[in-house]
Amino acid sequence: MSKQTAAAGISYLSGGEWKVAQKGDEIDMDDAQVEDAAERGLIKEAPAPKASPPVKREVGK
Amino acid sequence: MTRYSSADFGFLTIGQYNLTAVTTKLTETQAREPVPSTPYGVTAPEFLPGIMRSYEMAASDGWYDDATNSMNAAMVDLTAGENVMLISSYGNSAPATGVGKTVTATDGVQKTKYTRDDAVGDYVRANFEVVVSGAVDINAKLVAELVARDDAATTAATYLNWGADGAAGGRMYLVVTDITWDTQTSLTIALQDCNTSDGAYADHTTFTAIASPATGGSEMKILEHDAIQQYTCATFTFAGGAGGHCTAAVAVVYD
Repeated sequence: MSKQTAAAGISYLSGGEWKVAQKGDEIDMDDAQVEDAAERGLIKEAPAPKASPPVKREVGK
Repeated sequence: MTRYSSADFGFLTIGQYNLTAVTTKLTETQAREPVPSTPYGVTAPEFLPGIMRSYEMAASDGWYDDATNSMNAAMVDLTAGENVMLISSYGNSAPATGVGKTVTATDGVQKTKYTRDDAVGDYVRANFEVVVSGAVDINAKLVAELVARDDAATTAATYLNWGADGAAGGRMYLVVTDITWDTQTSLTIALQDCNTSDGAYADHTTFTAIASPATGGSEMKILEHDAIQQYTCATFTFAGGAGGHCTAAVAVVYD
């Protein structure tokens, strides 16, 4: 299973269960459907989460 | 030969009204009256095939029922003009075996007669007659049978297999006989298609959204693209809030 973003309204398998997503929804899609769905333009890979900004620590205070 | 009985009847809806439980006899008529064409010098009568004149349906021996969305509401409140009708008349269509069954579908139903019979010593009966203006799809197929569905439901697990891709468009029919809104505000139902039965299905054509506080709805819509893939399913998506569910059926016909 991998995280994807729906590029259209779709029905897809997630953990073996059929689910519904709207365009722009982030989804967990079963691997068996990913390649075909990507070829048909139904999904695009979800962007990686942004790294948290470094926490500044001031020593001595 | 497969023989069907009344127990195999799926459902009858006109507009948003489900008349299955109050109807006990239906007569459908498609009239193509022959035109006499016997010329001089011929002893045996001859006829030309007539053009299709009308599609009529009469229900008799039905029950009067004043419940919401039943017989009386259908015949009194049904919108004047043309309405959607779906008849799943053979091959049991409920609950899960209905997908793929043939449905008679049209959006040209006009109510023409409503009769109530009150007789001493009998229950009150109600009968109706309708005619269809325009075409009737007698070979539409159920994508989603008439059962209750929750928010974000899909029928992809019980997809319709038309048998081949379509290239010439077609029509799809929707009936929603009951909606519970809770805090949700609109319901969108879409037909999706796919090139394999177990692949991801994508929106093909979407029905007009139904807004709260409607108690149901019905619509015929021409498919938005001529090309439609072999496998179809329907999705039921509520917007806003939570807790919505509906009772709905979807049928499609490929030209």
